Amino acid sequence: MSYYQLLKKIRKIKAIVQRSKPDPVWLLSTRSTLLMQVKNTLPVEAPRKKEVLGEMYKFLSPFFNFSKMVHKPVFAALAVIVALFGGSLFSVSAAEQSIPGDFLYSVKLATEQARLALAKDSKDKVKLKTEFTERRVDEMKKVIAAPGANKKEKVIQTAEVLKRDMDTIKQQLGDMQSESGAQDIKDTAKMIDQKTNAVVQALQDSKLEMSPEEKAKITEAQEAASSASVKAIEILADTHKTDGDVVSQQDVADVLKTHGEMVSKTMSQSFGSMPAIDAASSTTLGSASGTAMTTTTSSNLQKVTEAQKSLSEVDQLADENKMDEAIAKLKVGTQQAFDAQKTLEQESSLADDSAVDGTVLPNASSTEPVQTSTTTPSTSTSTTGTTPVNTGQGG
Amino acid sequence: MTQLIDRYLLYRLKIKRDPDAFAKIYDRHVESIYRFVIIKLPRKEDAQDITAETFTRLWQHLQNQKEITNLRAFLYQIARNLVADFYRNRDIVTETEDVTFGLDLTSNSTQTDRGRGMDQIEARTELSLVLKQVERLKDDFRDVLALRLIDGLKFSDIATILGKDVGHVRVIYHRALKAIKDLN
Repeated sequence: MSYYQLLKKIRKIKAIVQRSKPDPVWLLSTRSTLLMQVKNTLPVEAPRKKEVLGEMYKFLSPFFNFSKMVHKPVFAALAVIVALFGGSLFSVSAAEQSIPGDFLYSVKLATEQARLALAKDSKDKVKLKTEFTERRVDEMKKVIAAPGANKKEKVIQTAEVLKRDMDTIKQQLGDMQSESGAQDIKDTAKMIDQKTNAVVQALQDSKLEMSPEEKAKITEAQEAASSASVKAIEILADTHKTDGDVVSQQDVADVLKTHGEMVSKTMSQSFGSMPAIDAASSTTLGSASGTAMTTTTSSNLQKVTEAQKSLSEVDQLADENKMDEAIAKLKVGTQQAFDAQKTLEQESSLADDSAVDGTVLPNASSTEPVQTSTTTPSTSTSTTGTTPVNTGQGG
Repeated sequence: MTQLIDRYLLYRLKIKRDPDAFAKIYDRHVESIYRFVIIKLPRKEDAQDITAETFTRLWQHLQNQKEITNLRAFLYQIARNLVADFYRNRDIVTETEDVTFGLDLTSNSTQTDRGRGMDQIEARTELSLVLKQVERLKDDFRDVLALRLIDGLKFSDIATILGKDVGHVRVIYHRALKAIKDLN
């Protein structure tokens, strides 16, 4: 018998067996006999709890088998999910601690953007953005404190991000003004003024041991922060006009004064902390570029004096309830103050360069130009907008 | 799914003390057990006795609170052992087997029953030819081939009946098929 014949025979047997059926009468009689036997011997008492649980488990065990069958793909899928979502959660929490230059810093910025996108209204957006600017300041401090090869780039990067954030706050303040109520505007504007002032002050403190390029960037950020602050004051003043009950004159006057004081303080710190600039500029008197340098310095000091004057006028105007004028003065004063700071830092940069080049000539009368330059602005305060002293100084 | 229903019925029987659950178990499996034994036994009465005895043994087993993981395979296992016992206890095969096997001699027998009896005689003849052909194969090979090809059982059931691993049963089955080819 060949293999196929054998299989054919087996199939035939199977077909015959499948067709065969037991006698129905026998089936029924056996059924009733067995059933009677079961009924007679079936225990009467209720099963114990342990038995019930055991049987429940046995009944459900196919499901456990099923879970065993699928557990591998399920675990694989879970692993992928954890890697994707859990991983991103870990990344985000790790990113929260990152500073500019870190691999995860972009994740941190992206997370902030996401939080901003999820903010319900412009007021929340402004608050969040302000919170983020405080983070930038913290990052700046960390970057300065941390040793690293690319410290300069990191500081510049942080300052740029901060400046961008401040510009955004300024823009968002405009949006908020049209959307929010007087009380909200008052609270937010005050908060922004306070926080931005703190940012400016914190940046000022961090500038002490910076290179000129870094200082320039930080000053730009400070200027942006100050500009955001002024914008907040403007909005507060506008709200005072429309809703005097909520925003009183005193409220506006207070923030105006605070801002003015902050700018003055920053300016005086800048100039006070840099005696070297005077010395540096004076030591270059004898060089070819010395005349121009001194001219610039005196011009700069004039700007400082003008800024101080503008800022002092702000207080007076605020007390007289001339808010528009006070704000205009504040803007002018702030602008002049930061211009003066920038010029000062540029000069410092040039002085450093010349010192490095070895073009510094020793000069006995090193303090003399300083004296001259410090006295010059006082005479020119009455003629703002012109620089009559420059020519005199240059000659 | 089949196993799930069996488990549920066992649960009803043991916990809910429901005798009808046993009746349902009987209804579900009696025919397949009967078909399983009838081809192996000389007389229809023997098949009926062994089938009935299979369920009695099942009930005894359940009364002793013993665990059953695969009811269907368990019933086949009992039936298989009973068939083995049957041949072990019978020294001489009775001469009547050819006469009575498959022939329903009861009073209400019909032409259909008679035809069915003829079928069974044919099946047994064919089986004896097949068994003669494969008698040189190992016992394991013959068992697996019969359970798979004739009784149409799943490999998992065969594994439980023979007390082997499923993978091992598959290997035995394929080796048995190859061995049949090599016989010619």
